[in-house]
Amino acid sequence: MVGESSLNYVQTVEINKGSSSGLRVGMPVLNAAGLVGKITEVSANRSLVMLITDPSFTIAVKIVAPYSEGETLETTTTTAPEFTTTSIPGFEPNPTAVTTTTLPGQTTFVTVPSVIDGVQWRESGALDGQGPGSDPIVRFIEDSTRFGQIEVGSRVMTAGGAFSVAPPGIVVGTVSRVEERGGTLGPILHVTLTANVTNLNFLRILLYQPSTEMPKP
Amino acid sequence: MIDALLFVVRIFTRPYVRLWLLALTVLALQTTVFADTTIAGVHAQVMLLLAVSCGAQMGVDRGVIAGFIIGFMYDLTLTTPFGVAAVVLAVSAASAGLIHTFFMDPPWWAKCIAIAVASIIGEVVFPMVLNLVGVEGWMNSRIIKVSLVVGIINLVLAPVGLVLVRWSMKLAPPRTIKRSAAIA
Repeated sequence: MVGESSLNYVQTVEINKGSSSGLRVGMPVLNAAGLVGKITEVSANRSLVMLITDPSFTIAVKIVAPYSEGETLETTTTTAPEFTTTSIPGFEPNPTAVTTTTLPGQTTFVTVPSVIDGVQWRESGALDGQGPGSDPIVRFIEDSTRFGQIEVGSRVMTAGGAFSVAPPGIVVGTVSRVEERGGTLGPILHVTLTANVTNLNFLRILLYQPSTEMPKP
Repeated sequence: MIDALLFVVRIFTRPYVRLWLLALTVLALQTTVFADTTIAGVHAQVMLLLAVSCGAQMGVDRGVIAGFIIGFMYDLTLTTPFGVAAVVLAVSAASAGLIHTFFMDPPWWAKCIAIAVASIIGEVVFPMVLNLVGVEGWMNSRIIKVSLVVGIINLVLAPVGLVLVRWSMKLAPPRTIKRSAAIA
C-alpha cells in the first residue's frame, strides 16, 4: 500500500501494482486476516482499492455457525479454503487465516475450514460498509427459522456466485450484534471485521474474476 | 532571450497565476503529507483552508471563483464524482466571503473565525452533495466529528492561509490604525 485518500468521505487506498501485474477492476483484496476490499480503478502500475468499510462497498456474504471447540487450534498452521476456479492462468490460491488475539502479546491462529461445503450454511445476505469506525452490517437476511437463530460469534464469509466479485469462503468477520426488526424485514447483523483496515501495509490481490466476466471462447 | 525570460517572469508574477501555483503546492501537500496523517481519525483539509482563505480575504464574488478553481484542481485527484469538490469549495469560499457583509474591513481574527465556520460548513455540505449525486452512506453522526475537527485545524492554520492568499493575490496589507490617529 502506497497511499490513502486525503478526503474524509472516501475509504480508498492506493497500491503499487496495476494492470501490468494482471490486476483488474473488481478483484478482491485481502490481507493475512481476511477480506479488506476490492479494486475499483486500475492503471498500469497503480490500483485503487475501495475498503470494506466504505459505504459504497457491498458484497454477498454467508453466515455460518460459530467456531466449535474442535476447530480452534493452538498451532500456527493455517489452511486455506479451496477457492473456486479462476480464469487467470497460473493462479495459485494463497492461504487465508483468521487471527485472534487471546492474551496480550500472545496470538493464536484459527484454522479456516478447508471444505466450505462441509460447514453448516445458515443465511446469506449483503454486507454493506458503514464508514470508518463503524462495523459493516449485513442486510437482506431471510427472516425464517429454517436455519435457526443467528448467534453472536457466527462467522461471515463471502458467498461467491456468478456475479460476486469474490469467490466463496473468504473470511470477512464475525457477527457482533444481531438487530432484530419487526415484520418480514429480517434482522440486521453487525459484523466485526477480522482484518484491521485502519493499519494496512501489505495486501494480497486475489486474481479472481466472476464467471460473468470471463472472456467468451 | 531576455525578453522571453521577462515575459515568463511577468506571467508567473500575475496574482491568479501565483494563486494557481500556490494551490498546486497545497494540493501536493494535501495528497501526500495530509493524506497519511490524521488527527482524531480525521484528515486535515488544507485545500478547503486555501479556498475559504480566498473567500475571507477577497469577498464572496472573487472567493467563489477561486474556490471553484481550487476545488476543480482537488477533483482531479479524488475518486468522488467529478465536480463535487469544486461545488463544495466554491460554497465554502462564498460562506467565508460573507464576513465582508458584516465588517467594512474585517479584522484578522474575524477572518479566522469566518474560515473556521466556513470549513465546518464545507465538511457538512460535502456529504450532502455526495448524497445528491448518488454516493450515499456518509450522512451520519460522523459528520459532526469530522466538521468540528476540520474547523479547529483550519482555525489554527487560518493566519497562515490568510498570509499566503494575501501574498499570492498581492493584496494590500491590513490597515493598522494607530492609537493616536484613532483618537484624533
